[in-house]
Amino acid sequence: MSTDEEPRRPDSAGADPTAAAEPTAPESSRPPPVEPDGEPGPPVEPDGEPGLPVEPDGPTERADAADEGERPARKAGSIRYQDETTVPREPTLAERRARELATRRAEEEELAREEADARKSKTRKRVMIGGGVAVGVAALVAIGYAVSQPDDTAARCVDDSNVVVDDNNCVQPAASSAGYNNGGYYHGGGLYPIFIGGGGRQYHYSYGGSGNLGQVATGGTTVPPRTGTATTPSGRVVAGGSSGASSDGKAGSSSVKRGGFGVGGDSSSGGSSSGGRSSGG
Amino acid sequence: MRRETSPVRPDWKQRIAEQGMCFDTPGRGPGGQTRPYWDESVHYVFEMDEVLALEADVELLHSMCLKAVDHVVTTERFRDFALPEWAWPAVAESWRRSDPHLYGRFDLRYDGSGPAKLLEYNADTPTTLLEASILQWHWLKDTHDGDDQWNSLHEKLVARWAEIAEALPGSELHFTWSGGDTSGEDHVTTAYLQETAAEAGLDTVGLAIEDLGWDVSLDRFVDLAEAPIAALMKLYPWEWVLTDEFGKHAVRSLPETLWIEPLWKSVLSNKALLAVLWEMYPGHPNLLPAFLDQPGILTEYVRKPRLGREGANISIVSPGSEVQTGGVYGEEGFVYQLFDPLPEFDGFRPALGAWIVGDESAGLGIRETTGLVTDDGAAFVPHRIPEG
Repeated sequence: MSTDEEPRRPDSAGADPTAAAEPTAPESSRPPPVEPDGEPGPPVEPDGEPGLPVEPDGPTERADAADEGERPARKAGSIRYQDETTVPREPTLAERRARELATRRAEEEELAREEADARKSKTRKRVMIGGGVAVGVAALVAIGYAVSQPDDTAARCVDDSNVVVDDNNCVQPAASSAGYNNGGYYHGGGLYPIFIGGGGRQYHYSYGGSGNLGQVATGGTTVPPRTGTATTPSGRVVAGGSSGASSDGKAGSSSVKRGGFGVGGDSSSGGSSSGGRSSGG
Repeated sequence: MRRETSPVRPDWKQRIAEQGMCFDTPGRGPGGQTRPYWDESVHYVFEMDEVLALEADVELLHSMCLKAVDHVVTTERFRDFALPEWAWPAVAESWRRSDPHLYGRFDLRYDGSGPAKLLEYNADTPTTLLEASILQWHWLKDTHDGDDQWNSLHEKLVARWAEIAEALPGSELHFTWSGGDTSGEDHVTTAYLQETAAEAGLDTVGLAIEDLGWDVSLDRFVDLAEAPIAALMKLYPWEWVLTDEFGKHAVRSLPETLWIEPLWKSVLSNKALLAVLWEMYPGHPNLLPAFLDQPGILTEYVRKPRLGREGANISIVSPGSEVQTGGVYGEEGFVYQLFDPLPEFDGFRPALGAWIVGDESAGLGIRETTGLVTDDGAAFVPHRIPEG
């Protein structure tokens, strides 16, 4: 009822003194984008200088990104995936001991801890990365989801020149060695199992596509199909078809519980949800 | 700002598929006809000064949002956000610790004149990232080489990861998505984020969030190899984490396990934020009046669930008309925002999704609908900034 309830239009400078005092926000409107003032909040950022929090050269440069002056020679990180084929690693001795200890006094132990190790984010200079828009892993992952996956995908054993070879060459997985685990082989942004044949030659599976023995395989991918099975010319099923192998199928530690997030307690093979763009906004 | 049509690339379908687009459920065009989700037959053209002004608006909104979190934490207004009471202290601590944040997307109403208005803020699990960062960039290079685009998403993500790496307990970061999303969108988006992190030098491990393990004895999260998880990027909303079986473990795992986005983002990814912002900054040119639980003085308003996605459970009430979308949200209550219809261009209504990475404006994605609500029938259309 009271008239001060009616500032329907922002600019009507209402009668309420508190509201009218500063009709338009502290920093009246434009610039100061990030808080350089040492507020208690997270802005991890702001390179303290009051001067120019925003880059001077505008938002729009991209490939031709300018200030790559001090582009640090940064080593590329790695990309690994885990799925139903991942095997628990051997627990360390310390872990085994700790587990035993914990189980023994599990009941009485009260949840107590909390060392608020106030990890203050450091103010850092912005580093502009020039250049390339890479699309690697995301596109590889997408292939697995691409519509109308056949129930069964042809799997071909190929050598490192992608020539189709007898699938007996793809039987013995490479010993887990240097760098990448599980005999994985990092190539072009993806990780997939490789097999070592006679003379140390390397082989892997190519899923889908086409190609006969001795020909170069075309149109295939190193990513196993997400649904259905993959079968070699000799009839061996090399992917899929063994659902439920996840988490509980392997000799994992009994103290590890899974499925506490997500829908239906299902694991990587995917539960059923309404689908669609589920986490968008 | 204007809308233009131009020929599509003959091989556009193959191009976008190669770039990772596998979740292109068709959108809806006029009369309910289907329309490609990625629609490059049209695009929007912006002048540089428009983009610069929008960019300033976005960074200002971001700083206002951070102040709003501080206000909510300081005054303990968590109830207004329908956050479960047991999680309040952890939300506050997450904020006080300055747990690092990665990105967010502001949805804006903008018609080329006047300031952009904040419709909502997707601060926790924003999607359409691949479209905005990769697909439209390649479209620009293929069709309007020499023109510019409001798009430094990729570089800024890489740079931001390099900053976040400083706060990580180790060099390894786990990435999780919901395996329940069968469209692949969440997985692909996560894979893309993983890629940007790897480019920044981080060692990354991807697995479905359903596969995360809780080691009861050791009181910590583990991956499928039963290795401890020191840091976790999740494309999975906090409000779902909190209500899941492991929700309390997730909160208890802080701060030993670093979660990205951080828990304090649960305040921003909640539409109660809109009302709190309006309380804090009444009359601000980038805000629309908004109120909690009742329309207040508003006679024309949009009622939005506090926690809702994809334009679901939205009602638009104006004299003589009420439009409503269906959905499963609304249990936590509603927020009422002044109805300011999306502008119309050739019968289509664009909503701007403006990205922030770290604390900097980083790019733009546009989704277009025929209706007033930008929902899952929206199509993504690219944009460009003409040279000179």
